Amino acid sequence: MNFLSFGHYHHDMCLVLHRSLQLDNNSMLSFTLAMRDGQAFDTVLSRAKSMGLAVREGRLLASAKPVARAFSIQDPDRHWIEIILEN
Amino acid sequence: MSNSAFIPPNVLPPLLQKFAPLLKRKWFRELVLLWPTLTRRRFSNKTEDYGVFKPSLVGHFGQLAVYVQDIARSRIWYQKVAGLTHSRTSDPEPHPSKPGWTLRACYMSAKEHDECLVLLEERDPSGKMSVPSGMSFFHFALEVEGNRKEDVFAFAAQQKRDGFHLNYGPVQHNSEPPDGDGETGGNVACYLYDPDWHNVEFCGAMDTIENYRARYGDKKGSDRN
Repeated sequence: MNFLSFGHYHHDMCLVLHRSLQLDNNSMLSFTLAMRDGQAFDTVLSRAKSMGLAVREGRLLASAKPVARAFSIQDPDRHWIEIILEN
Repeated sequence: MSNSAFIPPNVLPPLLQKFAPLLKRKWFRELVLLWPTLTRRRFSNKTEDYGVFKPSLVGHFGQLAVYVQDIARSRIWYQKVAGLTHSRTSDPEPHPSKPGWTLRACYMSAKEHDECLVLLEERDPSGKMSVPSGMSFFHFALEVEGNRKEDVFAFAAQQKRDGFHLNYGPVQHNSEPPDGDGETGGNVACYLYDPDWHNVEFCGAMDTIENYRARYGDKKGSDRN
C-alpha cells in the first residue's frame, strides 16, 4: 500500500497492489480532485500534456454541475480522474 | 436490504469476517503474515515514512462516481446508513467513454460536501443494465460527523442496532491496543458493503501529518509496532 496525502491528513488516497485480483473499471466511473487554485490547475494540466496523456476537456458527466474549469485524464489502470477548479 | 446476487471476488467471505476482529491481537497479525514472510512473498502493510515538503496541488476530493444496479435501492442505503441526502437525479445521458452506452446519475450530498457521491446506472446500447464488477477500487471512505473515535464507535453501534452488517471494525488503523489492527493512518474505522458490494469505510480521527510524526518519529515500517 502506498499512502498519499493532500497535505493535512495522514492520507487521502491509498494505492493498493494485490498480487492476484484482476482490476477493471466496471464499478467506478471516476473520482474528482479539486485543485487548490488556478495555478495548481494549470500545473497539473501542463504536466498531463507534457506526459502525453490524452486530456478530455470539460466535466466527464454532462449532468455534473458546472465548475470554473475541468478536464479528465486516465491513470495507468485506466481509472478516470477528473481535475476541477471550483467556482 | 438485499445485496446484488453477483459477489465480486474481493468481497471478504463470511468466515474471514468472523476472524477479522483478531487482527487487533499482534500475535494473530504475526501468524497471518508468517507464511508470506517465510516464502518472501510478504508485502509490507506499512507505508514507509514520507515527507510532504510542499503544499499539495490538490485541495480535496470533489466527487466519486460509482456504478450501481438500482439507483432507488442504493439511494435508500446511502440515506439510511451514511445520512446522505438526495440532490437530484439526471435524465439518461451519453456515456463519456463508451459510444452508444448511456448513464443515469443520482447525485447525493453530505452535510458539508455538496454532491460528493454519484450513483450511476449504466446501460449498454441494447438498454441492458450493467452489473457493477466491484473490482475498480478497494474501498472509499466517508468521514463520520464529529470525527472523533467515539463518534465512529457510536456510528458502528447504531448500524448494528439498525440491522446493517459491518464487514470489519470498528478498529483503529495503528498498532495501539486495544483497538489497533496493525494498519497505518490512525483512523478509527468500520466498513460496510453497500447493495452493490462497494466497500464503504466510515472513519474519523485520522492522524494528521504532524501528529503522525509526533507519534512515530523516525521509526519506519514494522518498527512502528
